[in-house]
Amino acid sequence: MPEDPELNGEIPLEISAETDSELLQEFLNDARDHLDHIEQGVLVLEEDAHNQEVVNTIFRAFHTFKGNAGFLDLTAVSELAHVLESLLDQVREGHLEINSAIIEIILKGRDTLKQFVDEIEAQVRGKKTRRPLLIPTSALKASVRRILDGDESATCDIPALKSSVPEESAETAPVEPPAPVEPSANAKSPLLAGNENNSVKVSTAKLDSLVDLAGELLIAQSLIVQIASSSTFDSHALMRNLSQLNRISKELQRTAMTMRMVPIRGIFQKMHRLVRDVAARQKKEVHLVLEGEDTEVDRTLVEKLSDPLMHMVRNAVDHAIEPMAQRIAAGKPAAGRILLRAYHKSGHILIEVEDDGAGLNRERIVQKAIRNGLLKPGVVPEDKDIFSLIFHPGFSTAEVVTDISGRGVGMDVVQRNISKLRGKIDIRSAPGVGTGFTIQLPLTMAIIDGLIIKVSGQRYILPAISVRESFHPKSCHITSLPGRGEVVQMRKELIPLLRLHDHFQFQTASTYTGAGIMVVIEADGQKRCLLADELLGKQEVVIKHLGDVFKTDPMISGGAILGDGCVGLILDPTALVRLENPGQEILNLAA
Amino acid sequence: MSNKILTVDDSKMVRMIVTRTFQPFECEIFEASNGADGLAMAASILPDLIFLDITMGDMNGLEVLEKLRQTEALQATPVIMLTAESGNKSIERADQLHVAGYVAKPFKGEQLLAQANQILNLQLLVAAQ
Repeated sequence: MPEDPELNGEIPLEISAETDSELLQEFLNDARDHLDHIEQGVLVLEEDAHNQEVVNTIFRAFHTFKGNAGFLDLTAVSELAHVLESLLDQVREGHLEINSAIIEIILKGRDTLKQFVDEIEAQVRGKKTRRPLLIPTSALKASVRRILDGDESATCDIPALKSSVPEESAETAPVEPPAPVEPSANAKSPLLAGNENNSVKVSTAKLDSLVDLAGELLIAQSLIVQIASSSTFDSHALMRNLSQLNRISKELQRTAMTMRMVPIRGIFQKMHRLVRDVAARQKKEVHLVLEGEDTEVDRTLVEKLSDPLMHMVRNAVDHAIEPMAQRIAAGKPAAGRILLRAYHKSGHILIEVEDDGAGLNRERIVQKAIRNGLLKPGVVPEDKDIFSLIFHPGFSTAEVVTDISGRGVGMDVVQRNISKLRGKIDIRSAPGVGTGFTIQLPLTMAIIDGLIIKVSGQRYILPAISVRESFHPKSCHITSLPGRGEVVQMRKELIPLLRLHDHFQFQTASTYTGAGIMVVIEADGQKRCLLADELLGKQEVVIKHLGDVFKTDPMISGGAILGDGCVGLILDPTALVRLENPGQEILNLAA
Repeated sequence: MSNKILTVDDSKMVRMIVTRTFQPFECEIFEASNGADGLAMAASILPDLIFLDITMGDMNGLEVLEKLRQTEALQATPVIMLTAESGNKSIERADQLHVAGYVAKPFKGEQLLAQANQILNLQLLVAAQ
């Protein structure tokens, strides 16, 4: 292809005011799909360089990009897409072989296109002011042209993202066996699945309201059942029909709920790219193994899970997996392995992130905790307690703050995000063997398993997942510590006491002991004892958002209609543990 | 009788542009997003004009064109190819299969109208009322 001297300069991209916004929106929607296809396709090509179908898919993605951008006069985009399309065309025709240089160029091209799409979207949505965009593309285009001209060294001047994977690794067997699941898992990826879905697009707002209505139907029905069972007339036929109704509405609710579920595959697949890029930058070789990608998760959960999971996976590649030489010296396979697994278990979704790295350094965590005053010297807590220290704000044991995990959120943010989703996270780790995180999440955000407590005649609901235990307090349990308020002694722990009456400023029924019940809750790794009047029982409740009315009280996360038709308020355990006490001294006191 | 126009293109944007171009005229507009759907739709609606993309996922435009020409009812249906590539072998093959014309992407609505006007008797909707 002849070199066009004009193209050596960068082309600014401007979205003209006359550009049809509907077409522009369609361009963006389509572009997102194609970007995904390219990325996923490349990952397949890394395993199977001769997958013609995937080469075609990537070719078409660039092709459509070029065409669509052309209609909107997005010249910079269409020209870049054009050279990339030509590159793929040469591969398609068998004139070029896929190698790591070409893969790098495709990915770099894809990322540049994504930059354009992101910027255009931000401007279209009004998040950024409209101004001409200048994203450099000429170096990249020149590299592609040199490859097309048969110059093997063409990639030297592409900045960033150099793969540490040797060029022939795509075809020949690497030193140790490749990850067994990846190629077949990728082969089933949606871009190859064809377009035969019998589905309709429904707005998520409609789905949410369907779930809401199904929940209310169940409640209304339980009210009728209560009346029917207490009435005197012969209600045999009525009860029979009611139980039929009960069955149907439960099924309706379940179906409505599953309609909001999507496979976790989307997030999982994103991790391939992440692992690849981080590993390349770190000169490590890491295989990502995915299991249970079809596990379905509530849509609202998926969006919020993405960031914490990405952070954990990034951490695993960055800090957990040792450098290659160190692994070989330890007698481990040179390539690290990260397992991402999702499955359902007894009404919860479990997601595991497991690596075969060095494991958490118990000693280093303890030392740092002592330095930070989180742990008294001489105290020997259990492994579990030590590991959970990494969720403490500002805690990081990485000796060097690397460019990768040093930025962005730490494990404390991960944990906070997970507890916001009413989930919890466990760690296990063995030196030299690896570390595993297990995230436990509710199946849906619409329903919780609640423990109903009574405080001065009012009923409150505590999410059962945060409740550890409950007991009838005796006076000897409660001590007042200067400067720390009241604490409850439980076995070897001192747990700050929270009198709900005081918080809600009620006349209290159970001021002290003998009467009332203590409920121990745990959130964000901290415990609190709540003093309530009575424990009424356990019930599944449908969460209702209360709108702005209760915004001023962070303690209340929502409302729910209870079995008798009255409303109970749902307490937020995360907010409760943040209340007043700094609370980080628990381990200190545990001597 | 109103004209039936079918667009077969995997880009929704292109289909939108075609549909909008012909909206002001008295005609029915149909869309298909891949070759197989396009063939099935063509066989059932018997369009008066088909806009056909060359590069598509399942089968390319030329294969669609070949199948159209093998179907008796669609043998003579005017087809205008929407193409991003020019001057290569696909044009040659398309010529053998008697296409009514080519429009190179990106195109403007007027270019479509100009080509379509030589085939169809397009009437503005306003005029018809």
